[in-house]
Amino acid sequence: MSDAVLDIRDLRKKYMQGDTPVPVLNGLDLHVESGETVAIIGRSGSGKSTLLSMIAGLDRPDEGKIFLAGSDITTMDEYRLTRYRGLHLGIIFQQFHLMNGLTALENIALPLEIHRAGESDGKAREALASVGLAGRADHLPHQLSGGECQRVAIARAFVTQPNLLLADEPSGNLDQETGSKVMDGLFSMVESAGMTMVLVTHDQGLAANCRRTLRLDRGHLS
Amino acid sequence: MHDSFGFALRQMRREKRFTTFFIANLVLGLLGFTILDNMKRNFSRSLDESSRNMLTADLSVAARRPLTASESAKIMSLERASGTAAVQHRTLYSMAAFAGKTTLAELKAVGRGHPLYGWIKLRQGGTIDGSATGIHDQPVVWVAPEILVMLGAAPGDSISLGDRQFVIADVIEEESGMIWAGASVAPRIYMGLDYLAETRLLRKGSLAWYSWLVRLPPDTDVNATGTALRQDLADPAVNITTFSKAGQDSGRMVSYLSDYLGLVALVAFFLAGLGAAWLFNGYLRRKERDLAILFSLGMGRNTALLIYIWQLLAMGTVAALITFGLAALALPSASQLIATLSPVRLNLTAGSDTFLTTILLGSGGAVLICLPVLLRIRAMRPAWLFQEAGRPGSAIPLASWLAGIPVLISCWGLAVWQSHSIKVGTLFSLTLAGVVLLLGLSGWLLFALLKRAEHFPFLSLRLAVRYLSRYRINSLTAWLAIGTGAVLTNLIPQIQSALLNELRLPAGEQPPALFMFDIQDDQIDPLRRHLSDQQIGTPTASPMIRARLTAANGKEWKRTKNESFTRESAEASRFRNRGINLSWRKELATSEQITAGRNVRPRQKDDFTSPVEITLEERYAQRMGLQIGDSMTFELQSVPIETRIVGLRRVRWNSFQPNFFVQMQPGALDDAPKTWIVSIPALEQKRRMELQRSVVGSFPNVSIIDVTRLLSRVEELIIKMALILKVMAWMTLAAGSLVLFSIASYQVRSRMGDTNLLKVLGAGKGLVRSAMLVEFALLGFLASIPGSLLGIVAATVITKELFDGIAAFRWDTPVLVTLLMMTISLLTVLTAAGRILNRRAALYLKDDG
Repeated sequence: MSDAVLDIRDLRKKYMQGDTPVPVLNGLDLHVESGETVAIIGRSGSGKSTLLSMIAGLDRPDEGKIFLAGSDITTMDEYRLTRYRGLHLGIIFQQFHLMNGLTALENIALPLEIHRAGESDGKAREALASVGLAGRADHLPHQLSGGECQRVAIARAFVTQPNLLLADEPSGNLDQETGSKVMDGLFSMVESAGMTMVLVTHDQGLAANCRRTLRLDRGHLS
Repeated sequence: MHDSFGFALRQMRREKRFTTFFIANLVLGLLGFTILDNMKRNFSRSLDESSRNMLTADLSVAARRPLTASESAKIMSLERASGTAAVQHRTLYSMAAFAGKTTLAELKAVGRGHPLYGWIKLRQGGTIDGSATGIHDQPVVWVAPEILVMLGAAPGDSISLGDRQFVIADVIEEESGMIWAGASVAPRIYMGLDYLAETRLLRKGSLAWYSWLVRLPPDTDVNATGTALRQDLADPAVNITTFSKAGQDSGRMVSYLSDYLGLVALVAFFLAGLGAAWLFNGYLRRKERDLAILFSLGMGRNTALLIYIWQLLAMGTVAALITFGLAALALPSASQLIATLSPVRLNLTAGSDTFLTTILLGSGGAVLICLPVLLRIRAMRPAWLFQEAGRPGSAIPLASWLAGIPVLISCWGLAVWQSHSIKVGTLFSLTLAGVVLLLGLSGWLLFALLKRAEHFPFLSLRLAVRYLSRYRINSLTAWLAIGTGAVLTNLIPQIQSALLNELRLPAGEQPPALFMFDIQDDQIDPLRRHLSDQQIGTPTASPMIRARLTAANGKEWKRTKNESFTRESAEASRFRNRGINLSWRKELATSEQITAGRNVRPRQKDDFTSPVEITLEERYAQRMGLQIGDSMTFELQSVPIETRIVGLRRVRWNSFQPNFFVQMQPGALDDAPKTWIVSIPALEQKRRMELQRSVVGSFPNVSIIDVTRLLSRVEELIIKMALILKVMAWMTLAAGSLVLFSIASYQVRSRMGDTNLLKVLGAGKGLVRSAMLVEFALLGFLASIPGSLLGIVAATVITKELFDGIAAFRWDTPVLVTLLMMTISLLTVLTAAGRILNRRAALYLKDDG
């Protein structure tokens, strides 16, 4: 328990379809140790993204507890949760979600600036170099390829050195070759940093790179 | 077509918020336009119906001198045709006196048969329609009720007019040819023409109109007869007025006011158009993905274009219908408001022509104004759907730029149509275009500078500045829209202020108490002594010679025969066609200043050959097409006087001091037969009355205008006009606010993605909100400052060119507009940001349950 970065207990969430409640997560439990990489796979509509939203504090469960780095995020108010997320979580999206008006370097520096981390420029440059894009610091997202955008997004997720990295289909928007290269880079960075990561994917091959693979089915992980 | 229409209606139903807002925007812009258009139409219709009765004839021939025997013979020759009748009139101002009280009256000495058309309704004698002869057989008069009040007289009393006593036989209740309260200097008195000579009021140089009023046989082409007569009577000093022209002249005040208000309505319409275009731009941006999908599914671009054209037409039509309904409700109040500004009775109702105009403007205007945005549809590429990093930068396609040309031409056409003036319309359009260009350049420069200065200490400020400098096209269009909004919102209150300032007496300046005119040359010295005996401060006496302009620069000066289509040409021809009063003074009056060239110098006593130096009032010179160095030849009692223009003067007419269009050099015409005008400085009411009484007692032919009373009447008019102007100015402000709201709402909505991302990255609501607030405060503040300043420049240009405005601007207006723009920006952002910030950021994670 003391080494657990993420501890989820009896998580329940249902959505309404008209007047009918549809359970998505049905008493789900998950325990992720520090430095562990966990892949969550499941068919479309199985609730993978809902689970990820709960862990990221972007959505509230109906019941259950989520402990992130020892703190129960389900009881936090909006303000604390936002700060907590920024400091303890790094998120990589399938659609990259970079700010189009900011350069690659500025996108990476943004979370540091939000949390007034200091030396944001230097740290961002370092993170950018770690994904092999040192020469693209001043490029805007539309001047970068899809693979490069995702590498910037990875660097942004790493730059705050979060306790937990959440990755939502990180190669889903990339071709196979680019996807493999970017994912190799991601796993290598996770490993060298000893980072904890929860990865949601359809890709069995990608899931195989993680230490553990769990299947989400009928609201439970197995 | 059916499918696209159905699609358009479905979209309207689903996008209720956008549809409502778009329609509200258009209604606000159309309302002023519709009311004014209706007012103009009804006014010209009512004029046609009532102008014959107003002139009391088909045409009149009038001059400020007795008509010559040959001129009278030409007029009387018309009488040979059966059904023709002609009546002579004399109109002059005179003092009426009774029991120690005096008042100025407009004396109308009419021949038998008056009125040829229309009626005079008397309190006791019933309605006179030309058959009554009471005033022609006895020394009796009919007086306006005001005469009774001012003199304290009653019917049956005997009043003095010049050297003759007249019994008040009846009181005028109403008459078709009545001068309305706003324009009359004095109430009217009717007397028989044959008795005028006995008053001895008409002396050499007296200000009087000598007229013939003519009724022509039915079905006669009055205009053609008027034109033929005009050719026969070559002297430009003789005015020939047909009933339709008289109607136009009497409606000039309302016509000018409506021209000005037309300009205001145009501003409100442009502002609303700007807002509508912005709303539609934001709406179309949101629909781009849907459109790309439709294209990829095989929908043609023309079909897509048609969907949005249908939508715009439908929204424009709904807006027009609402506008029509509101206008129908507002028109009765508008009738009452302008009732005192014109003799023409208006019964404003929204008819079929108003309906058609509103529908045309609403539906056509909506499509036209959104045309540049609409044409973006043709440039959309479904390939965006395959873009890795979302939609590429939003360059504006060439077609959209080109579509701006018909929009600009239409705006210009609308401005000319609305103002009835190519000059006003063009000036307005050019000023606006210049302002937009300047705003664009200043915005571009500012955003370029901001890009170099992005390293601010606070993240909210850094983010705001980055947004402004990085999304430069977006920022620039918002900048232009806010700036133009500020220009237009400033323009109207500024012009209103300048106009009212022009009408009102300058602050701290005392108006004269009385104007005395028709003073004969041999009366001026006794009058001066009389005034001195009465211990009147320092009266100003100005000599006046009535002359006729016969040539300019050696060319014969001819009457303008062409019809005037625009306000300027009508005004210019009026100036060209009339006689002129010449005067001279040793020094410039305090109410005038030389703006070009120099003032005249006293003439050398032995100089009999060189042309007489003159200065012209600058607007008069402009209308006559004359400049410094040009020569003018006047005829004075058949003697030609050669003159040369040495300077131009600006005259503050609202000072109510005696001023003249042409001032000659002293010493040139000192011995010519002349009359005098004397202005008496401010006096308290009791002394004013005493002085009038004593002057009329000693100089019965001298007429006196009580300027103080006249000013209070002018003030009443100003208050009414100011009310109309203010209503329209507020309407502009409301339209401007709505534009800003549209822009700010769109901008905030376009930030939704980035706002969510900031939240995901751990930014609190406070940071996101403050970044937005800083950005829009900067945009609103920085754009409305140059906008307000340019609004002042534009108002200066327009008032200078059109209203000869002496800049007297309200500096509080730009401050108010800037604060208003910022407040609206910030409130809109706060409201819209609240909605966005309360959304869950989970939208970023793909939706699989």
